[in-house]
Amino acid sequence: MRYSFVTNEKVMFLLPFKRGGDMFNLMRSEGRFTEDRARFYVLQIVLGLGYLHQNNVIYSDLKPENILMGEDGYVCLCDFGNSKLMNGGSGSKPNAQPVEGGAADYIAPEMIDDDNYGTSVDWWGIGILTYEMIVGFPPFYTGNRRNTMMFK
Amino acid sequence: MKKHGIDISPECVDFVRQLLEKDPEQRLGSKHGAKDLLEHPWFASLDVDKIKAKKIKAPHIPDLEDDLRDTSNFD
Repeated sequence: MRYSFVTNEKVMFLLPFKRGGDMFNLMRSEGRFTEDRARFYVLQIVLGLGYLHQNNVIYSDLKPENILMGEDGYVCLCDFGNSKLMNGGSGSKPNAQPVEGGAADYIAPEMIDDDNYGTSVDWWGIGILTYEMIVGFPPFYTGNRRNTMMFK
Repeated sequence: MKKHGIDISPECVDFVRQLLEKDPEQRLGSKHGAKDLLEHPWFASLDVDKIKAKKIKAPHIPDLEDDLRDTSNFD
């Protein structure tokens, strides 16, 4: 983070510009990745999530749209709007319901009916992400993003 | 293992299976966090320290215009 400031209603963060676009568009244009390539990305996301967890933050919004690529081809996480502090800190109440298409595929089972989830929800997300990168679509995909099998 | 016509290594299948464990207490990562995942055999071929130092060449370099204001990768 480079800078932050507060308006009357919002806290704003100024973040580095990652010119390479997001993983959602990259996966859409390439279909799927080789295992080697997926491994390269997944490892970096695991490192990022590990860092957040060490700082008592649960990310809880892992999805391709939130992974940005720099000019060097390395990736990073963005969008911390769904993150929360562990141990009932001042983090906003996590929004476990899908806000818009996409996130539902990545929600861990325990997030659906329990607000008291932990860091393991992010590891579930890594499982979904790894599968989607290599296969080309997420594991519980039914062809309709609003009708992900998890809600059945 | 072959599914959807894609060859996937047994290590990768095991990695994903252990992560898509419904019980969060049993899920990979629930014991020692990121360390549990990084020590999984699927990552054995990658040097974590080299990744951290960005010493490994990325498998894909994004297409970019020279113009620093280029936002063609965003919609």
